[in-house]
Amino acid sequence: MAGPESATPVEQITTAVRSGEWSARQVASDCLARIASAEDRLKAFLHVDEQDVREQADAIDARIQRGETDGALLGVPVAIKDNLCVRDLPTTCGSRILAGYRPPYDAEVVSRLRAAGALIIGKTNLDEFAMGASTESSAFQQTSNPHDLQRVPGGSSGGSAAAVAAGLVPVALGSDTGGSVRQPAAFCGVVGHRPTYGSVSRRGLVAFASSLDQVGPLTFHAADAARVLEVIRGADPGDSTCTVDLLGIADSPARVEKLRIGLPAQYWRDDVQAEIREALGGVRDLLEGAGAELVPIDLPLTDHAIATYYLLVTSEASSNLARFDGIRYGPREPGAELADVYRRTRARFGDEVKRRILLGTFALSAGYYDAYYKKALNARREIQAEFARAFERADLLLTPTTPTTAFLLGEKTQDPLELYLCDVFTAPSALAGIAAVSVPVGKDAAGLPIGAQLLAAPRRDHRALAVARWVQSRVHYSLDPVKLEARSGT
Amino acid sequence: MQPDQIRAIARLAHLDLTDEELSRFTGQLDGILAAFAKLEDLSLEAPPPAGSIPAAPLREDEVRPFVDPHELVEASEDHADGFFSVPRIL
Repeated sequence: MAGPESATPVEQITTAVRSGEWSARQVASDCLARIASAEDRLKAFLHVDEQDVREQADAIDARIQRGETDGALLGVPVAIKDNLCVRDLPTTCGSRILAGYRPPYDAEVVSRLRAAGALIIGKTNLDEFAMGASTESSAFQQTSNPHDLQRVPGGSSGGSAAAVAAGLVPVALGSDTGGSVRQPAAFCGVVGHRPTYGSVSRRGLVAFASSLDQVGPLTFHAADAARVLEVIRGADPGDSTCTVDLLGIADSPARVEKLRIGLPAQYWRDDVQAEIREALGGVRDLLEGAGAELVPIDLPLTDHAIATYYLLVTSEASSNLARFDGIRYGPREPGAELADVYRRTRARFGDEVKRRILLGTFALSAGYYDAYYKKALNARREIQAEFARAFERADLLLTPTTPTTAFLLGEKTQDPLELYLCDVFTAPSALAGIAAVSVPVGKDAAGLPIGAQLLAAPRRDHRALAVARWVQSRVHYSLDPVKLEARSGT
Repeated sequence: MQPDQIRAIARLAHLDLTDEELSRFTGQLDGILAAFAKLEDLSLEAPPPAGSIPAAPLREDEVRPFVDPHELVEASEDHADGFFSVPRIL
């Protein structure tokens, strides 16, 4: 049948739907069929309401019949991380404390996707409340990496990354607090973009660490991420960090020969997996060969970023997650007194969430506030200043997204600190609030994807995405969806 | 960190911990804080001016009606007459 292949560029889908070559109904049915055939092995989705998807598609087809063919994402299937509210679908954040909760409104980014003609396909799995780097802390299911089902997809937006990589959807939204879009994108071999802090509304994103949380797209093609950004970005009176349109003017396409590419010494380290260093070296050589100037950069505070990041996010999380007490959202455990209801309901949190609430409550408590929280706040400002100085000397920074490729399921679950260290190359830029893109640039000997990270000054998102697109068109990396291993016994 | 300290923090955060959780979390949080002690190496002066994050101006504080506030209350498990129900506190 003539339905779209999953790695079809978004523009091709919208053109075919607009012209009537494909109906939205057909696109939706193909997408649902792909999900049905892969989900027993992948487990990327927590909720898909097939009837709702078909109704959305029929509504789009009716619009087209009336001649209303506008929409940058007309007929494009989009999966949504399950910490973003979608009206009348469950929003669980991968947590038993929100099991069955159905928010009565759409997140602002979801409203904008719908207005652009997108089909909202379903909700993807994640680490509980987006706290993790492997999607293993989800209370409901374990998502696999489509490149090797025994390995993690990364996290916390692991369901979104796996769904795109396996070709179930061409676009997914994730959220990135310290790398939760970019790291799973790198592990699954797709593009992941963390927009400049304040450029995309978080209204309807369940808050984890508000001074860092950002919503961003995961796609096969960098050009598609740029297109999705154009749909979801922009001022929203419902998010006080997003009251102006920061990305008002898209950068003109990057001219690589004019660019100064910074190479931060603290990211080009010998303890990074050899194949990642080699692949990154290849990208660096491509850029230099095209005329870009390579600039050595020093970011000495990189080594302090993990401690800074975790003290701040756990502090913010301990406050943000206080609202989950059984009264307003999700199931309630009975108790004779209010405090009993709170404690019994909050026993539904998983281990990682409890650990982070404890750590954050400690860092904010009397006697420790100055030594931990305040110190981390000051370190964060120094890290921001360090990046600002780097961007006086370089237009973009090129780094690995992760120090290793995807690890085995269960490999790091016993040692939370080891999982925290997965964020070493993504947390610093999150603390600085800058633009960041991960783009697949190769595979290791085991066939696992390798991601390169492009960091740009605030508001320079389109510059980073344009160079990601340039890199993607020149490296040897297949743009076909991953073919999943057969089920054992079949 | 000592188990008593963790128990006191858990009480502040409305978390009930089993003995097994208490012992496990104590060891883990101790390890995490020990690793984070490297922040003490940093000699940070007075906070430098906010760096590269563009500051978003605040909008005017205008009241905007929510489409249907009752729907928010009705999404909760226990509610009556447009209010959240809770156990008697007085």
